[in-house]
Amino acid sequence: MILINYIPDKCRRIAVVGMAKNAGKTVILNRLISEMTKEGITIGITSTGRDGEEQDLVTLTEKPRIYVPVGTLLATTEICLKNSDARVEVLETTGENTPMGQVVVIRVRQPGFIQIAGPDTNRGILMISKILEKHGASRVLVDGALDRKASASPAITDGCILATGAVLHRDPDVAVAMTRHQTEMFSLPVIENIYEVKRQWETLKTKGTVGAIDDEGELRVIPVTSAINNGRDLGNAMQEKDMCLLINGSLTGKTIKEITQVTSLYRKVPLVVSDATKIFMSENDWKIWKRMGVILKVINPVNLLMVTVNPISPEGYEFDKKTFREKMKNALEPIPVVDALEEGGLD
Amino acid sequence: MSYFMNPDTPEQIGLKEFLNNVPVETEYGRILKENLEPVTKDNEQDLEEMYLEIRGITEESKRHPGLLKEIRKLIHGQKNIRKSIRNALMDEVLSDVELFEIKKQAFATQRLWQYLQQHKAIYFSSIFLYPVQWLTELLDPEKTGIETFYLYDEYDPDLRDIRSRKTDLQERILTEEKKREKQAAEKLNIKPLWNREIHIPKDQPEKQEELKELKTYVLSNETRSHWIYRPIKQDQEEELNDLLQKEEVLEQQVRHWLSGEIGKKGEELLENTYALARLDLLLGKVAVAMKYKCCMPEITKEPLIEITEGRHPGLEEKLKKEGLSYMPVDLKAKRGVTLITGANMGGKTMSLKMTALLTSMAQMGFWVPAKKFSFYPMDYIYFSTGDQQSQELGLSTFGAEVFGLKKALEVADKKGLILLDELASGTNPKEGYGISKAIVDHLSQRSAISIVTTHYDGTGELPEVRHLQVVGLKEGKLEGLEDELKKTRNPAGIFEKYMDYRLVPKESGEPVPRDAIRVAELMGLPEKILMDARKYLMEKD
Repeated sequence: MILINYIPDKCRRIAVVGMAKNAGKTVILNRLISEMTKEGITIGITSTGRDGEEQDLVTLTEKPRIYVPVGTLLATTEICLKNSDARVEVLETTGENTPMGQVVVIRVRQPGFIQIAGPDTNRGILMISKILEKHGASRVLVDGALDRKASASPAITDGCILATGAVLHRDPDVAVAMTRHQTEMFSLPVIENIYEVKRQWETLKTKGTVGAIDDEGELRVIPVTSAINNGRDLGNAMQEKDMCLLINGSLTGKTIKEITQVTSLYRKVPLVVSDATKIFMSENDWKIWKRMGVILKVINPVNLLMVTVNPISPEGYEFDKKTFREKMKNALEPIPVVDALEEGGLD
Repeated sequence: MSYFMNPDTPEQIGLKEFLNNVPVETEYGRILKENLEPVTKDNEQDLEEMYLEIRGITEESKRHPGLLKEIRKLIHGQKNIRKSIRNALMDEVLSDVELFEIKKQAFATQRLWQYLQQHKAIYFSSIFLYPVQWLTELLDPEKTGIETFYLYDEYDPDLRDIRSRKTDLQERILTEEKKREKQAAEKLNIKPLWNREIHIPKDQPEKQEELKELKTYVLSNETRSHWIYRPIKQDQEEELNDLLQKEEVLEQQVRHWLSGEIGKKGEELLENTYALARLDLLLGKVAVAMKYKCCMPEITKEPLIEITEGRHPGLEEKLKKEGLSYMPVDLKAKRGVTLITGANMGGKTMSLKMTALLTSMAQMGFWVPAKKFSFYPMDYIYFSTGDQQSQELGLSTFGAEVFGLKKALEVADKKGLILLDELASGTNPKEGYGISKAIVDHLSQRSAISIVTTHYDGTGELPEVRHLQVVGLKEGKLEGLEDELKKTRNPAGIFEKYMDYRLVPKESGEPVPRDAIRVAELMGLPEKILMDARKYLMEKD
């Protein structure tokens, strides 16, 4: 089975996001590079950088080293370049700084292993993607950082591959449930009257962070600096006539909890975020709130292309790959589920 | 320069805001702008040249309309590579990224140089560029003209050789690996995984033996259910590692050599970055000269300031946003004291600020927003707002004023500009009058040009003191003003329409106009208070 068969032509920027470390993201990246190279596609690759604490600056082991063929375009940093054995041509410096130095855009001249790195802001990833495309990349792969799904945001990429695996939990059923929660978040429905809401969303962005749209289509900005820690204020500001509550920025489980404590309007008024990557809550919490009647909707849906599974955990256990994949497939229907390591290989 | 202004003066007079609005395209220009120093009388030649450069570019851009845009495009976005050049000067080895930045700037410098060759009229000595063709040739050995950088094979035949051997070897290793995988797959009927591993289920132990026979895989790990085998390293891989190390060494040699070549002419390259900075700032000066309709300052032989139709750009912008027009002001001041009196809200403070701003702009090589501007480069500009408080020193308004005055008087024998707003207004009127008159008297005998605003009657009754007065509220239009003020709660912007800000010489003997009560009345202070105020005033007079 070939991964790129699941990627429609119109997807030019693809995020590969791991549910956890060792979920098989690097293998997926290498597979995509290999498949695309065979198809003669010029690939551009960037990675969501990370802040210092997540980064092992001494060994630099955390960032995957990927094998890149000649002609591949990459974002990396000055320090990463020193740790790579591919030989590269420097195309552009970006002025974006990471703990590992300035982000530079390069083209591979001698193949080999290389470390990818990049900016960690949406704006930065978008800028790098455009630079890669300017230099001829027809597909851009964004290596999403662990626990940070921002790169899957539809604001940046138009398709997303989610890598999951045995490493999530020793119990395969739990690992499946955790993955299911994430895909459910990615598949949250789009708010009704999307064009009207989008227009108000743009207005909201210039005036504040949270606002309600009432039954006459009027936007009422709620005076809070952000939704975080202000759930009670949001709940109290909700009104009977509201059609939805727009939240620009992150929506956490705590905020939802606070809203449910002060009002019952949450059963009627959907909470709307820009996209699923802005929602941070546990699987359990969501189950309860869903039962209570909390309605979550998005403006931009995440285009989840497939889920890849790695049945082997580096902690020394392995699920039966067929059963595990079947379980995952049944739970995630109709999302395609692919084994990360199998179904392919060298010619 | 030791002392030119108090640290808070640039902000008070609007110089800071003005400089913020001077556009620059590069970090070089920004650094130069932020460290701009005034030019003194000793170097007035430099000032003249700066003014002429602005004129030169303005005139050339009239002949070639796209000129400014074109030069801006040529210098836009140039990064600050001074650190890399200094590294090369100190015989350090530059990284590929540094070499890339240097190459990029070399190409840009080359293009700029070519452009300036076609416009000799503006190729001033201050922006002279050392030739950099050697540098573009050094960093572009393939002569492609592409502004990216790679440690090209051309730099070293050995490097080329090693790289081609490396590529061959990599090819062979891959072929061998594929062969081994195929072999194992066929024999075991297990497909190797994407990470090259072969996982043998523990219920098929015989396959372990079969795989061992091939001598191409080794046990690396096991799980409860599987044995995990990974490929044994090929001998060729050692060879490849060896080549990679050799390549690394050769590359470092090339970098060292390139850095050395760059270091040899590092001083010239540094000079070029300073020329780039001056050109960048010059374009900014031209841009503001056009935007604010500036004139070229004239430098006088004697200490003097003469402003014809001067404008304060910050205030002019603000008024423009409110849909109001700015009334230009004429002002002439010589050695000694020039006193300004006149109506409340009559713009006296603004006239002082404008004088300070225009003088400091001119001394930094800018043209100034006026119809005509003559001045003498000052050793210092002292500006006192009269309502400042010095929280750091823990002083009141009056305390801070006295503290500053003391400093100003110490340097009053040098050729400077002393601007005192609402002199001694922060204390009781009787003593304030005494102090202000004494200071005016004292300053009128000194070398500095002093301009003083005051409310105190009679301060100007000294023979040496020139006295200017704000024309004030336009007679005959007061009803209109009253009407408008009644209609609004916010008087801002209304007075401006009815105020004549111009300064005219005041004949001695004429009383200083008293219009505080009138202004208070117009702004709607209760009638009773106004009547009482007039009564008390009569009693006192």
